[in-house]
Amino acid sequence: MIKKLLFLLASSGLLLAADCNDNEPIGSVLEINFKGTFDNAPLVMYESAYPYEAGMAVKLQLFQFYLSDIVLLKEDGSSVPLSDVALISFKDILTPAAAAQGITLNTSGIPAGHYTGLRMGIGVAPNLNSTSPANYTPPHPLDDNYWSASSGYVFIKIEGNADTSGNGEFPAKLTFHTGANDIYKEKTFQKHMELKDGALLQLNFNIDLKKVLSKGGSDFLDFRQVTQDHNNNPSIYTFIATNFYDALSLE
Amino acid sequence: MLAGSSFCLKYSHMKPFYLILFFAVVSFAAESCREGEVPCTTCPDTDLISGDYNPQPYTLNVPSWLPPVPIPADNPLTTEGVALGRMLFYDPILSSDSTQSCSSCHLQEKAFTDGLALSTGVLGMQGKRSAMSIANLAYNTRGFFWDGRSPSLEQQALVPVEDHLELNETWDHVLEKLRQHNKYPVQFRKAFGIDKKSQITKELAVKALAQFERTLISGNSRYDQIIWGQQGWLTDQEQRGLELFFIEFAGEVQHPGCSHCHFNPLFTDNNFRQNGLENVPDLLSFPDLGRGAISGIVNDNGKFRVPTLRNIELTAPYMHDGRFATLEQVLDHYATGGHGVSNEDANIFPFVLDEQQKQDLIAFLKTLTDQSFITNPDYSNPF
Repeated sequence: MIKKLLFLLASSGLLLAADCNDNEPIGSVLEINFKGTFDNAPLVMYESAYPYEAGMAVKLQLFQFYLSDIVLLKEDGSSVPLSDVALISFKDILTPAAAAQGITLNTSGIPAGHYTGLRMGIGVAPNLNSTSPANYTPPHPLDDNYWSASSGYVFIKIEGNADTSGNGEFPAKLTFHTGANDIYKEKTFQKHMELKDGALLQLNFNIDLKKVLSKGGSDFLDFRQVTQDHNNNPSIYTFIATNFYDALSLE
Repeated sequence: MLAGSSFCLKYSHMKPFYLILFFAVVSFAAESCREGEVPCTTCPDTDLISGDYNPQPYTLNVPSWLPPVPIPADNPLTTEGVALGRMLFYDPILSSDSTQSCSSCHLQEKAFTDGLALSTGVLGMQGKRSAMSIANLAYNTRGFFWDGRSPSLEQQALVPVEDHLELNETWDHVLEKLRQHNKYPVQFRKAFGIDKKSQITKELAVKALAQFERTLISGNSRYDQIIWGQQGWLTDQEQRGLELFFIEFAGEVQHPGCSHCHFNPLFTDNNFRQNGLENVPDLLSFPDLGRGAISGIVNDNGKFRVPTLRNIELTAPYMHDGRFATLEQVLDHYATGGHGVSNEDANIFPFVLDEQQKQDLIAFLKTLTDQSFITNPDYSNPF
C-alpha cells in the first residue's frame, strides 16, 4: 500500500515537473503610459486653470486622441504588433494624483528579445477610418467619436473653456476636433529595449497640450478669434495635427 | 372551509383514539417534509419541477448597419430565456399590488416609453424621472438609467421592483409568487434548467428580463431603409433636415451639431453630458444631480445619459424630467446655447434656425421612427 502511494506521489511529481518544462515562453509585458501636461503642469480636467498665450487662460473638459498600428520595432526591420487602435482619453483625469498616474495601455505576451523602438500612427489608420461603429461590438475604441458627415472618426478632441479677457471667467467654449486621412501620420520613437520573458517594461509618453495649441510667440490658436474647429478650416486642423505630432514624446 | 367539511364527513365514523393516532401520523409526515429534515419518501415533493430542459440558442435579427450585439458570456440568449423575460416584463406579478409591470412605463407603441414627463409607479406614486426608451439597450456599455447607476442590464432589472416609486415590491415576495405560480416554475426550468421551485432566484429572473430586453433592437426606420437599404428617397425637406443634423457647417453658417452626441448608427453615444438645461449658480445647485449623485464627482452633477434619437417622434416628452413636450421646444432649448454653467458640455453653443429649418430638422428626425419596432409581435404582451 505504502509502495503504491509512493509510486503515485512520484508519478504526480514527475507530471508536474514535465508540465513546468513544457511551458511555452510566456512573453513579456509592456506598459505604455501616457501622461498629459499643460506647459509642464499636470493636465487635470475641469478644475485646473492653465495660463495661456496673450494673458488668456484655459480649463479643459476633454482631451483625447486615437493611436493606431502600434508596433515594436526589431533590429532586422521587422515589427511586432501591439495594438490595432487605442483611444487615449484624459476625460476621467480629475485630480493631480490621477494625472500623475496617467493612462496606461497594457500589452502582454510580447516575444522576448531586443527591440529598437516603437512606432504608432497618430489618429485612426485609413483602413480603420473607413469603418464605422457598426463594425464593432461595444465596448470598443471605435464605437464612439464617429463623424457621420465625413464617414470617419474624430482623431483628436480638445474641449474646454477659455478666459479670453484675463478676468478669471471662462465663458468661451472651446471645441477643436480633428480627423481625416490626410492628417494621419506615423511616428517612430527610437529606444533600445531588452524584453525578457515574464518581465515588465514601462514606456512613458508625454503629450503637452499647450504645445498642441501653441508654437509660442504669435503662432498660437487665438481663442479671442476662434473657439471651434471641426476639421472645417485646414489651417487650424493641420496646425493642431502637426503640433500634436511634434509634442508627443517618449521620455 | 369546504375541505374541512368533507374531511369531517369522511372520517366522522372513527373512534377518538384512532383519530388522535391518525393526526399524529399525519403531523409527523408533514414535519418530515420540512426543509433540513429527513425527507418524506411517501409524500409528493412539491418543490420539484418537472419538464424538459433543452434551451435553444436565440438568433438575433440585427440589420447589417447596426453593430454586433454584445452578449455576456454568463447570460447567452435562448429562446426559452427570452420568452420567460418577455413574460416577466409584461406581468404585474412584479409589483406590490399586482397592477404594474415593466411594460406599464415602457409601452411598445411609444417605443417603450410612457408618454409622461415623470413615470408613475404603483398607487399612483410619481417617479423622479422620465421613462427612457429601451430600444437598443443591448449596445449600452456605459451604465443604465439616466444616471448610469447600473453597470449591466441584469443589474438594472433588479432596481425597479424594489423602488418605492416604481413597483414597490420586495424580491423575496416576488420570488414567493413566482414559485407558487402555476406556470413560472416550468418556464424557469426551460430557461435555466433548475430542478426545484426554490431555485428560482432574482438573479435568474433578471437574467431572463435582460435577455428579452437585449432583443429589443430598433434599426429598420425609413432612414435605415433609405440610407442603408437603398430603398426609396428622403423628401427634399427630410434631406435638408439630414444636412442640418449631420453637417456641422454650411460655409460660414454653423449648424446645430446634433451628431456630436447622436451619431450613426445608434444616434447616441451613451455618454453622460450636461446639456445646459439648468441655469444654476454653481455645481451643487442642480435640482437633480444626475450622474454626479452616482459617481460622487461634482463635475458630473447635472449630467445625464444621452438618449437615442431613434423613434424620437414617439418618445415625448423629452429630457430626463420630461420638461419639453415637443421637438420644437427641444430645438429651441439647444439653440439658446445653454447657461454657461462651468461643467456644461462644450458642444452646447448657440445657433440660429429659422422656422423652415426647424421643421426640416424635425421632418428628418421623424424618419428615425421604426414602425416594425413598435409593431413587432415578438416584443408585444404575451398574455
